Amino acid sequence: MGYYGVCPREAWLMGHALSPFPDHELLALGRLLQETAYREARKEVALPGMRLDLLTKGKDAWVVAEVKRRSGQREAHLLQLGYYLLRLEALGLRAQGELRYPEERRAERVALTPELRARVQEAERALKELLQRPLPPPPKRIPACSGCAYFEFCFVEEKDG
Amino acid sequence: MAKPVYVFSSGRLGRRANTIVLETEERKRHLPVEQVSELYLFGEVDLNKRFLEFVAQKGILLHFFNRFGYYVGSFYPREHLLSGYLTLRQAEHYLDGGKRLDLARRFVEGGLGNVLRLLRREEARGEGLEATLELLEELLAKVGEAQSVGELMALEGRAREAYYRTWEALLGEAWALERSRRPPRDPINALLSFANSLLYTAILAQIYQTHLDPRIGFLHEANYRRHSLNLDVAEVFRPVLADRLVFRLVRRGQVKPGHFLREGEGVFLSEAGRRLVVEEWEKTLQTTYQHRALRRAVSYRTTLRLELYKLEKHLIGEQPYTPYRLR
Ligand code: SF4
Repeated sequence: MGYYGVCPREAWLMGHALSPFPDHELLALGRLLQETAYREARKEVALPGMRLDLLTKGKDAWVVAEVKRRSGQREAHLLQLGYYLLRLEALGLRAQGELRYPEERRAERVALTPELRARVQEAERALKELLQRPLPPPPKRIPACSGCAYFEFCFVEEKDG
Repeated sequence: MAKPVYVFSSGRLGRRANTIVLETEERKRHLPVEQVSELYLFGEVDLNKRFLEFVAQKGILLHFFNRFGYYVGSFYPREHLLSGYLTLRQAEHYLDGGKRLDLARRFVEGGLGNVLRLLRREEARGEGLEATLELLEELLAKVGEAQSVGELMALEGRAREAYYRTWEALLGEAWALERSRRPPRDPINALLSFANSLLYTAILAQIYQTHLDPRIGFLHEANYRRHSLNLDVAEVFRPVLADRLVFRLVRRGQVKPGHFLREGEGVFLSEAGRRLVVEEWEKTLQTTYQHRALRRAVSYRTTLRLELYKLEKHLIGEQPYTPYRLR
């Protein structure tokens, strides 16, 4: 989901399991709940700026924390977090969200407001439509490319000369 | 960074915690598993299922060579990167005759093109290769007309024969090449076979990092008991990496008669000879250059993987595959 917000091409590739890392299934939310195994696998995910930690705070609700390096793509992070919250809700779990940018010493509570819910659902629809396209959207150089695990795949070609 | 480890000694391979342990008569060698991407086993090595499970879990490939240094085969742990989508596209390009022929042609064109570029450079050294160059150009022109993979193979075979006949002029009489494979009957064949098997396995290791199925080749018949996609890709890189490696080793006088042993009909590289070739091969793969499209420094090992990315893009229909060009 977050990929959709950052780069539609990345979302398409991920959605077709053409991921550099197999444990990075977009929709396999059930796995998110397998604490340790999950976290270990996740540490190997070398998509810069994309790390997610799921914490249980026990008492009244789960707290899903999205930990990111920079807030530059806060919108995408918000959508991703909203998506997790929506899925957790569908599983019957009450959860709260938190966006964390430790390097910027910032944390932000995120609740599943009606607007966020609507935006996530809209993004989900757009994502589904994107994934149904026969070809991925062509690569476009954006700042995220330089640290993206797909960089070589996206931009390799045989140049004459 | 995980790197290939070449094991020449004989002994026992085992696991201790997260470490690969090689126990020989003289000593124990410990290899932290994160530092190993592949194991090349040249010596007589004992290992058990527990060890295989360990390397499979860690995604480490094993390549086995017999005591003459001939490639026996690889242990290719079950693919860890699977994309049903890509697998279907790969199978589709194999099953659809037109699509398969198109890809097979690209591999042959890529390989022949690189042979031609290599020879043109050699011609600049004044080697008198005009007749061969002409013939190769003629054959290259026919690749587009070939109506079957068999025809392509035949074209490729003729081109290769003509090309190998120039080696005597290029390297001197002592290194004249008449291809004999099983077993190689002279030093140059032994050297070239060994270099080629290093290339095949290096490509196989990169295939493991992608979503491609190594068993489905296009020029080389898909064969579920063997890997063939790496042979296709090797077509493009043999002149670039393996042949030029042999040229360097011979011209610098690095390989010497003493590096070869004879047994019966066959000639093979001694352990010292294999060590030498492997060392130079690793240097080759680690050499970097500035990549034109990526505008980044990449190594030749990465170049092999980039070739596979281009192939993946062809298979998903994004961009027709253009083979690597010798520069
Ligand atoms: S390299 Fe750039 S275009 Fe390609 S997937 Fe990554 S962000 Fe998107």
